[in-house]
Amino acid sequence: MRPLHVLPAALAAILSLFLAQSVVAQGKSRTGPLRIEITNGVIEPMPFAVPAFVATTATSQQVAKDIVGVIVSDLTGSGLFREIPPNAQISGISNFDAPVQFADWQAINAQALVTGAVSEGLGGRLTVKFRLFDVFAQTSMGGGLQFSGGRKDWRRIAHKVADTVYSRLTGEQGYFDSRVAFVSETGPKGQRMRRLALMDYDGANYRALTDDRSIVLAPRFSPDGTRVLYTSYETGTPQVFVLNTRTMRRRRLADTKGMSFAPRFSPDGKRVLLSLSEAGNTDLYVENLASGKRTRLTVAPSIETAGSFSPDGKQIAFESDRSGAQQIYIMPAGGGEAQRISFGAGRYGTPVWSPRGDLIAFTNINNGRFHIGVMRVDGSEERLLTSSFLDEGPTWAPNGRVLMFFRETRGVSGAPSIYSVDISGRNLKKIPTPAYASDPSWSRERK
Amino acid sequence: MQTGTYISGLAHVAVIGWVVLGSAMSPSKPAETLRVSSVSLISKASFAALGSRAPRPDTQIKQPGAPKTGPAAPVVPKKTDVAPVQLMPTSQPTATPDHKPDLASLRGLARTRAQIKAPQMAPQAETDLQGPALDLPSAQLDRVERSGIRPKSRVAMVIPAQPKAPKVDTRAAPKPPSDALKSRQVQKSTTPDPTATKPLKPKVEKAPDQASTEIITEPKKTRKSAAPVATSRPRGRPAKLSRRVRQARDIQKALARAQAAARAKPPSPRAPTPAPAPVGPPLTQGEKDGLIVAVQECWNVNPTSESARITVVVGVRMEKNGMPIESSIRLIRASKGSGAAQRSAFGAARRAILRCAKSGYKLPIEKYDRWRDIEMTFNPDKMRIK
Repeated sequence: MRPLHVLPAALAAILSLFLAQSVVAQGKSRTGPLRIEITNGVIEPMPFAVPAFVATTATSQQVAKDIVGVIVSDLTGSGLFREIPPNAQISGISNFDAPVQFADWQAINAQALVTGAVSEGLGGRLTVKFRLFDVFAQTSMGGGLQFSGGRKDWRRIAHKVADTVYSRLTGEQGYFDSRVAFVSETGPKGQRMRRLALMDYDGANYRALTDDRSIVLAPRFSPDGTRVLYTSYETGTPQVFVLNTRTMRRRRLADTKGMSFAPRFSPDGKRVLLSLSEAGNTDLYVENLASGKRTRLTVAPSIETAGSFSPDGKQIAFESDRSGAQQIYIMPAGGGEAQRISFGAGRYGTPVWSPRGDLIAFTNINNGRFHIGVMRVDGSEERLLTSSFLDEGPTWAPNGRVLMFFRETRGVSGAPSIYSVDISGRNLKKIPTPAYASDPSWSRERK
Repeated sequence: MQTGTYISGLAHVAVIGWVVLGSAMSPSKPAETLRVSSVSLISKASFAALGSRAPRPDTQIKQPGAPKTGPAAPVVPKKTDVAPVQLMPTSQPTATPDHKPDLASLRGLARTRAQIKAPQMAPQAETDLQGPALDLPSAQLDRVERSGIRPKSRVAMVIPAQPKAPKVDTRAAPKPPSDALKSRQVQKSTTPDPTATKPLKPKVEKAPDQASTEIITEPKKTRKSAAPVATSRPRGRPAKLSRRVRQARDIQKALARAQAAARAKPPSPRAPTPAPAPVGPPLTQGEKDGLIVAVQECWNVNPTSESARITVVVGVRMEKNGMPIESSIRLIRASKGSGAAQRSAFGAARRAILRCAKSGYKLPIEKYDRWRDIEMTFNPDKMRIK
């Protein structure tokens, strides 16, 4: 009997609480702010200004100018920013620590402002300070930063500044302070001389790693950027070598009587995934660099090649013609059942897993044309970014938002060149190189 | 064979000759011609006038007198044994007497017998008659004849003064007596008593709001039947059920008390005091859309970046001139993503708000309290590269 009498009181208490909350809610909603939703913006380069950096010493004036030039080139070359040229700027920066007159920069619609100062110390050591401002918010975006280095490193310092600006404005990691290993080609078609080479992502600081006495193919940077895997024909058959770019020491991997090719580092840099062709059959293997132990991952009469680790090292994407034509498959890193993920028209090859792990870049061959494309790791949302007579060898920028590949033109005078494009298919541009260039490999880290 | 042929030939000739001669001698029927005539709509009154152009020979016509300027004498209806006709007062009696009857009102002529009620003619200030007037409208007589019902006696014809078409009086009509005022309680009218020391205020008489609580269609009749009127009353509810009913009533009472308490409960001192209600009507959708379009023109999205996957809600306080207060722009919330991407998305939203303000967003000043605080949701779902 007693619990039954308690029930009404409990119900009344709950109801009173509910009613009280609803009264409060009504009061809030009555006086709440105006709410709107914006779903359509614009996609256009953000205007920015980099007035001349303040040169604190007479000897640093030229390098200050050069540094500004590289920063502007990096940012505008990304396709996400548009420079407001110096002749359109109303005011300049004469003192790095002086307050910024934001009205002058708002007047020319500069949304971001980079100010800096360059000083050269004893022994030619450069010190570059810079600040980034949001002009319309009239605030500094992050604190000021300072980089120091030898005079010969001025480009890298400039790339570092550009990376910081890019990162603060987009929320993405910058990729300007990075290098690319590639195959440099000289001579007429059919008699090309190939050598392994290095350059900055923008084509600067070209450096040859090998001579041109033998054919070299498909260089692949190690994750830390200190080593390069490549395939060489110096023994008469394609063989995989690993080269230390600092010491220039190299050694042959996969000591086998057959062919070894298409190498790629594991994410930890301790293993190498490669293809071995023995007795007319090509399969995927993984070799431990320290112990030399080799493990076979695929056992099939078809050709399995062009393996690429996922960033977490748990899966491998590769190409196989087990279905009758080249297609892309994914399997566990230790081998096992593979799952096909490419189902579009034509043939698919050279899959490369994005460093972010969200996309796989590939080459598609359809109706006599080559395309560079990306798809999600389950094969969905496939997008073809380029189309030409021959586009091949995609490689990811460190931030996973830009791709490099090489394009060869048609005809007797046709020659390869390296291009970059972002994952939306915009901002396709040719990378300047001192010679023909193919097979790019973008470093993920620069040490 | 020859004989049969002759017989057959003669027979054919005879038949053909009969057909030819017979048809030629028979009177030919005139070919029916298709007539086409135009039809025009005429009014009921015109139709009546066509049918009663001349008075019937068995009617006596009283010649009309000279037109009178004063009010027409009331028409004295003659008693007839003609089936009564409920006359509809004509609103616009025509000046000519040759009315065409309204046959529609004749339907009940043979069925009902009652006193003829002559129409009350409105007093006319002046008449303008051109023809004889009947005490019964000619249309009425015509109706009787047309219907085949012959009157047993002649109808005395009087010529009433034909009313003239009513004119609009420029003087305002006196206010009609109002209906009895209704009240829940019956209130009798009182008149102030001049002998009283304190004269009472006269009360207006009011009728009850409703005469009875139920509609009684027929008076109750005394029942004389011996059949049982009602069944016996059931027993009382079982005690157990009664207890449950009591509990249900208790719950209902408790809920009612709780509701009343919640309504009457003053807000606790710690609770935020609700701001005064916004002044002015809410912004129209067009005004909201104008603001959205203005802001989105400056919302620059990098479709390849992670920030293009982050929805941010940004709060901003506005000045009356439509300018956002820069220091009031704040990130209220952001969808899942890295801190750098969230900062980038917020930065893009803040730049959009500030850049496109220019000289101030075009918002109605009279509704300032409605848009003083704005929460803008920047949702890049439609823009990002998937």
